Amino acid sequence: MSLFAPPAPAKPDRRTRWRALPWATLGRAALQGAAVALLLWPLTRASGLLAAFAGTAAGVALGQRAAGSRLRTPALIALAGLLALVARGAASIATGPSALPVALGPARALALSEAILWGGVAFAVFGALRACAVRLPALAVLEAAVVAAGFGAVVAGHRDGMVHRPLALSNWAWARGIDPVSVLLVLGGIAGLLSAALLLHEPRRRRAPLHLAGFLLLAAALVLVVRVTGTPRAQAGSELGLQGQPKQGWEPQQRTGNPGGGEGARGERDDLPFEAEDPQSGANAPVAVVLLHGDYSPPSGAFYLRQTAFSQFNGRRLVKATRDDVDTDLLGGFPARRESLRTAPPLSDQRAALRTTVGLLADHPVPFALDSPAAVWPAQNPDPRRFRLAYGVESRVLTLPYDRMLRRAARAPGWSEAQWRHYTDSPTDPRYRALADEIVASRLGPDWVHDPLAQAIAIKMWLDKEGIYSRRSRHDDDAPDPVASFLFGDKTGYCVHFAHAATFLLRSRGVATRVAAGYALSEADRGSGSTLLVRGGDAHAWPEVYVEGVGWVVVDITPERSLDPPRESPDAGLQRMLGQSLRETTGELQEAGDGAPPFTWEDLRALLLRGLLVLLAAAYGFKAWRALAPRLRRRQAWRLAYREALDRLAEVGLRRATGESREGFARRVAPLAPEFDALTRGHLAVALGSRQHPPAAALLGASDAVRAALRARVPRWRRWLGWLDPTSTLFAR
Amino acid sequence: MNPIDDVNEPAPAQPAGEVQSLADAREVARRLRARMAAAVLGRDEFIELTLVALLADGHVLLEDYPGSGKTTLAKALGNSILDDRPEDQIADFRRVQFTPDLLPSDVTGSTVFDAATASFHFRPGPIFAHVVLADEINRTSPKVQSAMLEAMAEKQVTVDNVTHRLDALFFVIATQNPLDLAGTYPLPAAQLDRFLFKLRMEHIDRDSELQVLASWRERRDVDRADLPRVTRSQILAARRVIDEQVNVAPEVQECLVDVVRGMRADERVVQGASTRSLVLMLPALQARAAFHGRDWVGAEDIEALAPRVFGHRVELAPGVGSIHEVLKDVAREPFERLARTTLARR
Repeated sequence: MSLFAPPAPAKPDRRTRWRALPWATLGRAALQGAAVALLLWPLTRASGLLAAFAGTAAGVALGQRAAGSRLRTPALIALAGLLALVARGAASIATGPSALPVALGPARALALSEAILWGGVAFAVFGALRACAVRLPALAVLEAAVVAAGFGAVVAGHRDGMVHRPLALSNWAWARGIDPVSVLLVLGGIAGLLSAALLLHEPRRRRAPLHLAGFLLLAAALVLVVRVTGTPRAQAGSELGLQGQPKQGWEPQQRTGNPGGGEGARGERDDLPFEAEDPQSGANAPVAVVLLHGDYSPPSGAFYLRQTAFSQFNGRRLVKATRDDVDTDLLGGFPARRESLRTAPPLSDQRAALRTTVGLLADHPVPFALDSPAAVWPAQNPDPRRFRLAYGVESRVLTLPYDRMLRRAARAPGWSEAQWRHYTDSPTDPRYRALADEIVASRLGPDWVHDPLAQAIAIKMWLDKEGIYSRRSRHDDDAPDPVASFLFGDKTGYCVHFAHAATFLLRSRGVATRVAAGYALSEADRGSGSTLLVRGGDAHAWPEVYVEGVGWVVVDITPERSLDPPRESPDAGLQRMLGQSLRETTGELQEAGDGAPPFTWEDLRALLLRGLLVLLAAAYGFKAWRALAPRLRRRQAWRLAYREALDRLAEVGLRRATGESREGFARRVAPLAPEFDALTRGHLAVALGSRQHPPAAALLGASDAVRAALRARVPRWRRWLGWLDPTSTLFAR
Repeated sequence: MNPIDDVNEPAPAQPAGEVQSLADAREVARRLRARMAAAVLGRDEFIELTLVALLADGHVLLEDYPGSGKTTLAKALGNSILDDRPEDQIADFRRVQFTPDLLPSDVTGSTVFDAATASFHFRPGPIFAHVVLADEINRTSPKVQSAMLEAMAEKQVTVDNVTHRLDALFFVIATQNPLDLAGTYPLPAAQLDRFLFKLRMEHIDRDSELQVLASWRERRDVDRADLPRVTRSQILAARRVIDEQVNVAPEVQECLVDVVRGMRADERVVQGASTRSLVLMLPALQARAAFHGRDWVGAEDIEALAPRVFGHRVELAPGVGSIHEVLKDVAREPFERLARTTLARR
């Protein structure tokens, strides 16, 4: 008999189709376009932004239409990919070696290329996304995520409480006496509302699982963001007036130790300054407190807290290494969770484990630690108003006295020739080699002239004797060789000059040497046993020599003559108080998992995995129960046997469509499993009030027959796939 | 294969006068069908719908081109019914050809003066028959049409203020030509509402047409006496049995009402179906279920009959193609609900 299906496919009324178009689609197109333009802001120029906006808007509008077309989804996606590739190709033609850039001029050619690239890619990507989202409503979450990401890109600079980013926005707000935070909140609210509106506009069906997926996606994104950027840092106040003005009055060494102060934008310097600036102020301001969890007295007589090292010779001076395979013992950045350094030396009779907790009172770009760090983890900040950040370090500290480090090679066995050259590269000026030879020859016996550490100590002693310490010394930073101006000139300077001079002298004799920077504290300054108070004036640079089997060994120069007044000892009271304040919480932190964040990526993954396993087990259990139920409860066989057959059909992809009658579904299935029709009749007869109830055995038999029919006619892989699919029962309706 | 035959249960050899079970009722329908199918080839669907209407006590409006077998169909039906009460003077089959100058009394009958008894007495018109073929009903004046209307709705005619009852088995097959509309009086909606089905007959398929040519001579000459007929009282009993024994579950009624209400709410529908159409439809659903060997009405019955029942009752907005597309949309939710209730525990 005839069904509702009309002979010809119904075409919607043209008028209703156009009436539906303008608001929803245009609004969505504009919103998406704006979000994409915001996201691309740092990547491209005005022409690219405009093109991206237009491309996205056009893509969204066209994608909406394309979703209604007969084109299959994979074909749509492939088409979009092709389009993006074509746009890339066309963009490279516009800037490539062709007649076009010549005709347009480079600036216009570049603008054109950017416009083609971003416009085309945005058009393809968002057209395909819209089309897919219309067909599969779950994907609409991705669109909303783009809008949210656009907002996030605008205010990303605001993280860590930096209210002044983005500048355009905060200046505007400040000028009107509005707190930028409120403006940002309003913006965030608008972005949230718009995303929600986008989602709400989707068709209503299948909303619940969609919400769940959306939430999971958001949560995962949040975790990812926190992992990438780290947790927001506490904003240290100036309760004790300790930080003062971070920017003001850094002495040269301190700028090394703490380049840029609180101004993140200036970033870290890649080299050490040779010109001193206003050396005296701030030298006594504490910048950090270090707790030693263990007894340790360094063989060099001072605690060297290394922050960074300079080992690459750039023709004039030493800068940070650009190679990846050198200076691997340095800490990269502040940890978001416990991180271990694989390059750390093993524990032995010459290396002991020592834990330290560092509380920073001023911003530092990278953490510093005793040589050589093996693991670093974030510690709980005991007092956010006082400390900017706290972290823990486990160091493998050197316990070997210097005399037992003699008679070893100056290179590690695993070094390549390139690494070796990296650490021995020095100026071509022959005076270095001549001076070094002279010093070594005059101070060392013939047995020792090739011993790296002996040479280093000889040169150190020579510089100790000949050099004059002065923080006021000036050696032109821009000179072709500022070290030569110091070493072959008045020999008056500060640690940077001495460290460079020693390094170049040693390198000229083929000893692997580098300049390390950080803080150096005399053991005498160690206060009540285990607290080190790091002050701005403790910033220091020193040469390090590589000794085989030991690692980098500090060979610091301490000139006998100084033009500067002696340093003050640290304020014992302050030192004790800060140490106490840091110890208050860190004492228990050591036991509590090294102060790792309470919820890490691994935890989340494990939790998700466990949840997934539980869900899977529940789903399979549910499936098994539904398969067994008709035999266990024969009185309900009319319902359960039918449901079981529905499950089996769902497994091979046969599902009743929404609004399809059970009889219609049975008709559709009949070519594959004709027995299903009888089962459907039996089921409906009971459900719709027949007087003759079919016997349970007949129903179970019919359900068995359906299974047998599927076994006979459906390929095995398809059945197994359906059997493994834990969600198949959800679609058996 | 026709659904009436396709359930392999043993047919009772001969309904011995008494129709007591659904199987008996089905046998009645099967015999009628066999006779009609022998007379008209390639019209199985229409034969079934006509029989559904007959057993649901409704009437059928056929819309077709001339020469497509309407009259043959109606005549075959009339000839299949054996009058077991010949004394009441009611014919098996009458055909009325409607023309513009026809008068109501030509249809209903009139009072005539009998000179022998010197009294007036009623002479029944052609409407006093079991099966009436009202040919080209839209060609006659509204006056005659409304006389037909009373007869169809009330099963009675009133002549000179005297009401005469029609036979209980009064079944009208009306026809109209969908193309040749000049000088016609189209049936108003109220009148269309009296017909259970309006069937639009399409041309039969090629094979059936070839078969018609091959066998028309035999079918003209041979009286189908060998095929068993059914009696008037058997049809009436079958109607009663179907009405009593086929269950229409509340869920199915809900579904039906929701479909109709959905149609009324749809913006593509100007005038929705009446409540009377629902009342008329219930017996039709029951009859169809019985034909298919079921004692319960299911979604497929609604699916099959809804376009036939509502097609001529619902006025669609301009530009809307057919009732099918409206039904497809509005029926989705009620059908889904109905399908879901069946799996519920009870």
